[in-house]
Amino acid sequence: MSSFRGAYTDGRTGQRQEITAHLGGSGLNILDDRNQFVAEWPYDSLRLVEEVYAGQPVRLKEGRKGTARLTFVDHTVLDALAPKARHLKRRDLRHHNSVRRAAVWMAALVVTVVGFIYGLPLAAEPVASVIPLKWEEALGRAVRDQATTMFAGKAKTCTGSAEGTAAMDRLVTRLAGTVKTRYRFRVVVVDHELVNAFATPGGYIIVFRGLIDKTPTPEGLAGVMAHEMGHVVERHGTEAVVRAIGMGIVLGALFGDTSSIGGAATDLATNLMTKSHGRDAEREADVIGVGMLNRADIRGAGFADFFDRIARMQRPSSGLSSYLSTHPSSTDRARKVRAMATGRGPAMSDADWRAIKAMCR
Amino acid sequence: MADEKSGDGPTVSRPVVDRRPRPAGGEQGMAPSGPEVGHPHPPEQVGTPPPPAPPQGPFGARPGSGAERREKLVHDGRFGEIFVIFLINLLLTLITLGIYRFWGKTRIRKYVWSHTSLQGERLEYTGTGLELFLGFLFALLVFATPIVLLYAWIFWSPRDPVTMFVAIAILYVIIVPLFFLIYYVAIFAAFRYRISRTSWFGIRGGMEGSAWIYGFLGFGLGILNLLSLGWTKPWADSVVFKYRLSRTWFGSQKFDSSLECTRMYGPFALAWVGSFLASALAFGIFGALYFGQFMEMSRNPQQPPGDIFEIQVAMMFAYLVPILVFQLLIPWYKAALVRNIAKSISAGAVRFETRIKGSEMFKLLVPNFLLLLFTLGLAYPYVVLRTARYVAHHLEIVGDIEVAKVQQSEIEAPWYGEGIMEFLGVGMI
Repeated sequence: MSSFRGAYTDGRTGQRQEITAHLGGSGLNILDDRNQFVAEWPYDSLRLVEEVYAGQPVRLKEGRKGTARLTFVDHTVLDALAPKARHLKRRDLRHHNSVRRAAVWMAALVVTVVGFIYGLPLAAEPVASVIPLKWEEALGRAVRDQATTMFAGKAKTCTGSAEGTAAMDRLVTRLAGTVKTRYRFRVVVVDHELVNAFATPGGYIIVFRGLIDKTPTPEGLAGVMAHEMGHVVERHGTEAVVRAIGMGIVLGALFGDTSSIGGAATDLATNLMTKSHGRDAEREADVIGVGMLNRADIRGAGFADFFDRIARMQRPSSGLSSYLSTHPSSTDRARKVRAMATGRGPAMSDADWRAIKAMCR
Repeated sequence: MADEKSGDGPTVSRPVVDRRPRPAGGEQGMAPSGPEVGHPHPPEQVGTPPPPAPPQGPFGARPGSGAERREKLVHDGRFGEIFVIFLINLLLTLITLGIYRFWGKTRIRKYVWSHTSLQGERLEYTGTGLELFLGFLFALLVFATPIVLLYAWIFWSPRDPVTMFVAIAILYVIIVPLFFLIYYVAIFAAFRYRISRTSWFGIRGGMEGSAWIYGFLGFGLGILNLLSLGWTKPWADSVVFKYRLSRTWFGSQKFDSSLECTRMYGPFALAWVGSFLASALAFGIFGALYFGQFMEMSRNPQQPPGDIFEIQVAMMFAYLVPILVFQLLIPWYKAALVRNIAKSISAGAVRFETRIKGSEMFKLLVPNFLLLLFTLGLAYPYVVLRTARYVAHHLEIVGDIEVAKVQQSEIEAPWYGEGIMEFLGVGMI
């Protein structure tokens, strides 16, 4: 039978006494310096107070909630206890090789992070495709309400002329007829000078008055509408939402969503991610949009002219800002649209075009 | 027991200070108190018994004659070990989508506590991840309930301007102030949790007082600080620290604090005036350079003159410069705060002292921030170690700590962890 010198505190006072712990048949027999009985702790009730690293005393307690403590400076007590109390092994890190363990865990961490970063965007498409249409439409309505209030102050949408609305509906119906899709497209024209349009999940397309004003031809408008419808058909908006939520969860888990530094890192990563996916999505929507124009036999050159006009409006951009921008460069897009376009006909009658131009008056 | 000193060093008889009522039979561990199952020979009877004395406070009342004993904490945590814990935590937190963080945090704390010792006896952290997790769920409930109620009400109400106005009013008049109140409640709750889960020689800490009273105190003083443009902050800090410190116990030994704010005003004024001047300068320069362009841009956002990007960057700098100057100057105030806090604390005859200077606090806080920033948080374990070593190096404990006479704490310990603090991201460890 082996025994170890140690110290004992009973958890009721801070008094510490020197003891000797004898390894008995069923547990540790703790005796004081005069060989008087102090306590007996069964082996299976022994718990290490904390993980034990080299150079650190071994501290034991009895049961999970015991308040008395046994302290041994001599590490070999753990070796002696190992065959009798195997569960102590788990917190015994005396032979822990920090460098090797750090390397192994670092590698595992990198693999996991890379897996998440590449896996999440891949997962976004299948996840988005199983989201029910009703949810997408509800999401779209929320985005639409947000945008119309944000940009027009009093949610002023242009419903001025029945002819304009009807003309817009005819254009959208004609374009929608060229693709098979579960979405119903609904166009909202917002009275704001911004030259822009965007599609929400679920089929809402928000067009700002500035875009209609600055578009020289109805074919340009048709191109923009087809492009936005392309986003809806390909569920780009829904996928972006799924990606953002997933990224938020993962990066939030990594950095803690509340710390400011982690927050900045999260924002940066999400932003870069969104932007690069944004550019891919725009190219894809361009391709689908031109396809719709071709099948509807609408001149694609009008769409290309629209991009040229946008390019003239933009200041020449540096390489970095084009990399960080959500859209590919307009000159590039104009060239690609020209190359793909085969349609020859007009997008609508002159009367329809005048009605649309007058929608916000 | 080679490197472990016995806690009962030079024992001098002390008059009574501890006014806390305690049950009969617990006379400072001087004598066995009746039959105790499992301890037929209570350890108190063993070894050299201290001289018999009347009931007294564990740490005595005033310094004994002769040279006072001065001690420091020792921190011997090693980077390699804590870094591995940190990496494992990161990985498991990622895989469990954040749930593991509470267990991870507990593991880091156990490491830091158990590598900090006084008189050769290591501290012990007895908290668990489950407690922190429950605290987090509790916090989620506290924070989410008012918001969910408000949204539900908005959802079921007609969408007219009156409803929106009332909803915004409720948000800003009730919910936002409520959150600030809860923030201070949370600080108290977090300290109470950590103190109740910290033990030394098997004796745990305890904290009395009401988290809600502290919450109202902190909230009221916070409003006062706003109204006084910050000039009441040193006083407000002294009030809240005093409230917490004078309700803190180590077992049966109470702590007291006589914190005063007068000597903290100089460094505070430095930080305030410095960042005010920086702010005036930064906005003056921004205005002189960009005012014309800025106005034109807000009139006509479609055709911005010059480079919007440049204006945005310049404006960001104008905002950041004063904040940066404040952060660079505030260590002098924090050093003064810590010096005064340490000096103000007493536990019977035991006192605390630190001579940390503003420049030393600067060398702690600024590199900590930069390390975390430029490694995106990967330096966290190093920052934790560095801070623990700083505390150990700078804090001195003066007087005899007669730990053998201290009895176990009877102050109720909270069953849940500091969830709300976790939620707000306050506190480093």
